[in-house]
Amino acid sequence: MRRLATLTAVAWSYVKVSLALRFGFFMSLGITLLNTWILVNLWGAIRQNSDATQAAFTAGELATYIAVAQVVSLARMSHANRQLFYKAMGSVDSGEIAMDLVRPIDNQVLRYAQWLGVFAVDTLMVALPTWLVFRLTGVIGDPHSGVQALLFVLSVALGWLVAAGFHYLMAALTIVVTQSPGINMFRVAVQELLSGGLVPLTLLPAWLGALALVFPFHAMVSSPTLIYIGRLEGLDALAALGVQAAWGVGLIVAGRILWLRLVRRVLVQGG
Amino acid sequence: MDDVSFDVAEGEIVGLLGPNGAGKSTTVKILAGVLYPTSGDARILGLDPFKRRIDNARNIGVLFGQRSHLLWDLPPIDAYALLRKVYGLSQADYEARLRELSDLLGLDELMRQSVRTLSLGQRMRCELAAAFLHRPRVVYLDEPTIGLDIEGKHAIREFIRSISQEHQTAIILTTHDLSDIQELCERVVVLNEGALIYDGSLEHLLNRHASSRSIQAELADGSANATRARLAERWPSAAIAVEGTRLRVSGIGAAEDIVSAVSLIMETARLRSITVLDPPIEDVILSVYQHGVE
Repeated sequence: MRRLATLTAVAWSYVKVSLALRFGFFMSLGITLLNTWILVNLWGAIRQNSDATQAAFTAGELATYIAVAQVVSLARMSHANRQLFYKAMGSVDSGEIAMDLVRPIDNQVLRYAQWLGVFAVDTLMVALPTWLVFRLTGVIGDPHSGVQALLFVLSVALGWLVAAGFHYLMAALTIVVTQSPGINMFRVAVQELLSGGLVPLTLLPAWLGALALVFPFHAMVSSPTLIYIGRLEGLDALAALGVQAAWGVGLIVAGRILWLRLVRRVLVQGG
Repeated sequence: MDDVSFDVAEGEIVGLLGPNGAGKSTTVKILAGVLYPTSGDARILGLDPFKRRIDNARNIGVLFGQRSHLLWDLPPIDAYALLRKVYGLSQADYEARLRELSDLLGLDELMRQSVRTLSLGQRMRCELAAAFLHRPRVVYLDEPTIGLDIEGKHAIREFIRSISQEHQTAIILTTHDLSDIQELCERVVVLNEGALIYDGSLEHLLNRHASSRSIQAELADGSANATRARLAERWPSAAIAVEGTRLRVSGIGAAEDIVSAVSLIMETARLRSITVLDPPIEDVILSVYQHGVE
């Protein structure tokens, strides 16, 4: 109970921190809208000249997939979220991790709670407005049913859990690999491609699409987006949620093991 | 670190001194549970600070001069509210402690301003409140007055002294500002190259350097030269200077000789005033760094 109160308090603090970064949110919203518009039009043009893409998706499905994937993906990587993520990754380099360690709070709970607060604000301030703009302009269709919409929301929440778990692993790794920018470049490259955020995984070369399913990234973006457009329904959708939950829990366990193994190697230089 | 061992009692303020790289911050980080010692053992109120990090964290407060408890984009009061939850304080306890700290540190007008708008001195006062909010029994203060003006330093020293006495808080103070040490610490622990080279009272350390004490006297006209002659006869190696009516004597030697020299001056000269000056603490500590304590 006390842990829940602490978690809520940390998340609420980061809601406030996120709301203090108003300019960042306007920038995030603007960039998300622009990115989404560019990608939707780019993929529309690609589809017109690609038989394989025409066979895989209708024009409406593809536009909805691309736009919803951007909404889902960028809800986790807005300006505020990026800052928090970089801060977490840079905390070993900067020595800020010392302040985390002198508080009576589990490091994993602390990080997840911070990301939860930022995610909540990102969803309200960036994701929902973006979805609304593209919904009202007719680019995005609705989920097929109320149940499908509910499954989508659950899937986004589980996708966040997977993303938080992956980010925590990356942040913990900076204890031994002190070059956090290098880790982050690797993360961006792999995560963007293999999450299905830029391109539906079924349109990747077969070997790459198969590889993507081995990693947790598809659980962050592809799964909720496929549920939204109705490509995953009924038992398939429930199975996808199960896979997401398994990744979410697995990454929590992996993060905990990694942290406990590496925390003894934390070096905080200087005063 | 090499075989560093010391105890700190309740309510004691201990100065941890040493040149850069001596191991002061490393010692504090080990005691705070931030760093894991490759060998050796630390106990804070009976707890291993690393293995029982979270339990230990409830008992300690920390102020690292270069790090912050506060949230940069929010007012300090938001960080305090968060710390209340993190430390599990009741609302009544929290309000009482915040009121006490606010009175001692003058935070009333600062708590609701964004941290980014506070001056360094104001921010340091807010940081101290965050470190002491949960009424920790042990507090580590690393350079708490760094970069502050005279008024700011005075306010923070007064606060540290007052809160330690009031709540019997043990405080380990790491600083390069030896005025902090002189004003707050009766005991100092000196480290150099990771080893403990002195653990004892500051007064004892100063007494060990009594030979560096000097005497300064303001004399009535006409008696300076006679006094100088008698001093030179008794202590030929002493440095004796006369500037007008002012007499300065140094290099006398042991504490007993200082007393004898003062007596001699008082017998020989017509005095307006006389003062025995301790060597500057900077010189004493520098000597300890360079030559150790015999």
